[in-house]
Amino acid sequence: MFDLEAAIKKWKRGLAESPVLEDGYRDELEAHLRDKIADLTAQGANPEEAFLKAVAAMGESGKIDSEFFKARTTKRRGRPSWQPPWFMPGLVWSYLKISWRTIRRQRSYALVVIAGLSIGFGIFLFFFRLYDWARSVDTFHQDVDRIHCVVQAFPSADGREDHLAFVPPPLASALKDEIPEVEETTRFYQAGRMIVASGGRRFFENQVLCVEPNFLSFFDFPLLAGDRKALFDKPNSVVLTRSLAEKYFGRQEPLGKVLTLNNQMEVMVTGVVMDWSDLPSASSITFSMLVSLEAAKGLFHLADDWTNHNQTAFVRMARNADPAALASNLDVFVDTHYPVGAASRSPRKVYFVPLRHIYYFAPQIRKYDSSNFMGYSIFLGMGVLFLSLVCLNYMNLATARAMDRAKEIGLRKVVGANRRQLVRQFLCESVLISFLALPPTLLAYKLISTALMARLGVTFDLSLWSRTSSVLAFGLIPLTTGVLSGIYPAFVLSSFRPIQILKSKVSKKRRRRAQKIMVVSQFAFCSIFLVLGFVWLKQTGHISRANLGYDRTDVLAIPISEEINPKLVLLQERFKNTADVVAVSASRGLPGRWRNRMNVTAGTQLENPGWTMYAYGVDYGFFELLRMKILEGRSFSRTFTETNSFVVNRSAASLFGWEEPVGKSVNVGGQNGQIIGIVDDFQFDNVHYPPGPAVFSLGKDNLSFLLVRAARLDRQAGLIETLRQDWSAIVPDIPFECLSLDEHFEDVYFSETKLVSEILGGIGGVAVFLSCLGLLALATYSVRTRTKEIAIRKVVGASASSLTRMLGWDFLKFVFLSDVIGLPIAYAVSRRILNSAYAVRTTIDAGILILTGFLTLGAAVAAVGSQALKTAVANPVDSLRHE
Amino acid sequence: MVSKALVAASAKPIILSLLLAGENYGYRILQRVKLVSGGVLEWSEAMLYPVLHRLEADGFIRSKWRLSEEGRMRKYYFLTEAGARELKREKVHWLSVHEALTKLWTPAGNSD
Repeated sequence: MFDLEAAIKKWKRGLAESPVLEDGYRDELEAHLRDKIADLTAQGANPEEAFLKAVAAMGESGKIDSEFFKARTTKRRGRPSWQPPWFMPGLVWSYLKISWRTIRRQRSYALVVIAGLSIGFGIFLFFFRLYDWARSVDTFHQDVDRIHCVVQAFPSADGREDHLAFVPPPLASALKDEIPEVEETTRFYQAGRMIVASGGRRFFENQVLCVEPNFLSFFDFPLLAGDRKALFDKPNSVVLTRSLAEKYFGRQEPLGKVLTLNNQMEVMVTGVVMDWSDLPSASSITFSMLVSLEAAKGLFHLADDWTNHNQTAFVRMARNADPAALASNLDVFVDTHYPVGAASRSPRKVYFVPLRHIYYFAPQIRKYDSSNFMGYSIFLGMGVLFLSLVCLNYMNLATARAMDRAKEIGLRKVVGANRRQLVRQFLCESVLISFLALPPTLLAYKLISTALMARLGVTFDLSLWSRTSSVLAFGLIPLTTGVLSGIYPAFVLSSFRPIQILKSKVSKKRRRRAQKIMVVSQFAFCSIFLVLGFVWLKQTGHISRANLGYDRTDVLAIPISEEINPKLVLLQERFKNTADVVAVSASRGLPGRWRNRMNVTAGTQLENPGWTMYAYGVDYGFFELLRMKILEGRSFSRTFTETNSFVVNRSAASLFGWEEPVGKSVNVGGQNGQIIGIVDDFQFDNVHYPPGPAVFSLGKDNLSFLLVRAARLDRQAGLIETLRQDWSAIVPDIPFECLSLDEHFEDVYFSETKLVSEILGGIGGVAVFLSCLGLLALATYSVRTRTKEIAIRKVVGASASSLTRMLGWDFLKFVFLSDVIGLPIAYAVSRRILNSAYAVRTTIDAGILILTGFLTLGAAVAAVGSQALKTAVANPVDSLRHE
Repeated sequence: MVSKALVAASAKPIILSLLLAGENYGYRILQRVKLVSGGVLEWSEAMLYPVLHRLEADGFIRSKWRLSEEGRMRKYYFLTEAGARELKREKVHWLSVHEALTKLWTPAGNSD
């Protein structure tokens, strides 16, 4: 039965909560309510309905009291006196002071948190800086946004398109003449190896660019000496980088000095540019020496026609020109300029790629620079992941401390603090802690960057202060992580109700669930890092052992240049007769990153579109030296005239589709010839790519490396000395250099994958360590709150070991769960990365996953176990008395 | 629906005018306003009482608790001298506003 009087009484008591409604006002409102109810019942409503309706009409007490306030104040926008202001500047100092006191009171806790945060910040900032450095590639060129690289697209063997940033020499000037949007063009030719001599000293230089005279006015490489406009006024001019100038001339003034190129051409130094590593940002174009194209024509017999795709061209668009609108113009351009016929290969289309994109958005384009931007983004991703792990760790610790602070919170609330103020207090604390982590962050950054840069072998300026973005990141990181990681604990801690706290009855249920989630995700991150690290380690081993179709051990490679050609046979004979030498050959490139390609057609029909295949120039005895398997036919032999002979690999042979390929005619890059043999498939290019169809021809006069197979690796040092003496007896004016194919491989990619695995493993290790510290703290707090329970359990007969098991399991089950969640994710992620990055890839076996699981669990056992054991063996009497 | 601002502005003269006819209490005032305005002005309780208290604090009205015919205590409000003067001033203002609007809205008034 509805009791009207009771209902009204209750309603009136509700009004009492409002600070403005004094007793008289409430009586008046009650009288009003009663009038209304009387009216409504007179109209036929039952008392309960009438009451509810009347109350609804009166509105909430909050609404009434704010109306009261509005009616009284003369200010348009006021704050009722019983509500605290949104922000009290006077309290800021108090927030800070109290935060500082809290931190000082819990030194070990603060130390753990600050150490974790600074390591996290340091790692993140370094990867961010590295990413930023790579991302700002080429930005030191003033017109970088208007500069585009010219790219040609060709149909490829697999039916897709090959994109090539190497174009015929006349293309650039034709573009400038015919496309109005193109304001200026420049181009360069990568000269490969060149003998550079000065004052009797000779070296091979590998990073020589042959450029048009306007190269250094088109691009803004900082010039240290020389007149930018007159650098290449004479064709026999050369511009060096600072370090190269030092190599040849020491401290002497380089300008005006003379260098001899390839023992045949004298050039004068007219300028010195900044080293690659000193540039303000990364540069996609790298060189140690610039020679004018005019001079290079003589040196390299470069033909200025439309059939040689060997130069890189850049265009600078007019201001306000729309590169997208060019497409149709360029199509017409292709039709009019490229000659028709198989020998000349005309592209499907020509298009422009912005200079800034060619480096990191266009991995499919084969270009002058093979560096890979992906790595930097992955590093940045890892940095972010690690930072979030550190935040989780902090959140975990901060929430775990709730018990310690419950009384404080209760008291604060009793003396009038409201929730918002408490939240601010806690946020202030977490932000302060984050800022306290800044000085050690600098130290961490310094250590990490020194170690990693030494490991990466880079010297460029990665100081935090040299870029605005990294300075900003440095300042903003503590603020954002402080707020982000502080917000959850702040809300949890401030939600306690004072009465319950002061009665020591805090409900732990909800908080524990959040804590579980945090522990689980933290350890899941750890296992992802670890799995990735292990997978990369395994991948390094895998590709170094992988059968790439040839045997590279005990092979020495000696760079040679054209000047040697007349004496090449003599040299080879001499080497062959040296003790410990098994075989001698030569090739145009070195397996590892050898990716010369040509268009190949079956038969001699020129209208056949054909395929783009790897095309390798080798010398007699090459297959035997590398122990490659000849499947059919024969290899190149001095007993035949091999001018028009080709050896193809199995994939190429199957592409042609003949049942009996040996003896058939093919056309390779315009040259007709016959297939004389088939070798098994192999991979000379980077293992990032799958092995493809390939064709070999006799390199003859165009060979770059002399290959020597030694009998015994351990006697290499003596052998190299013997070879050097033989060399200088025959070709004294050519520098002798020597590297083993294994070293070359190490350079080409093991170093890279090894580095990644080291970084991942290192981060994983640090992550596990930090997480365990966090877990230890959690365990400590949890055990402390359960002292009484444990003591009672003990009193009624639980053994120390069963208690340890119980306490340990409480935490380990979450670590276990995190493995259950994290390992499949780690598996998927690493498989995905492996699949996209490598064609030759290792399997991710259960062993790695199990090992990671054991590692994380083991670390967690070590962290929690001691604490659990300590509590379990404690004397129950002590703990009971203490409580 | 009359705008909030107009309701707020007109509340004072309306209450004072009602009380000019004699003392009255909150609930009745609310009903009278509704009746007089033909239902156009419908005040909420949350708004009325604060305004009454404000007027009382300003000295325009005064209140007294009295036993009603139903035997319940009720708070009656009545006009003070100051209130009557204030009402006169308000009347002048409102009439001048009314006059101006009427002129503007009369078709003959187009001449000026």
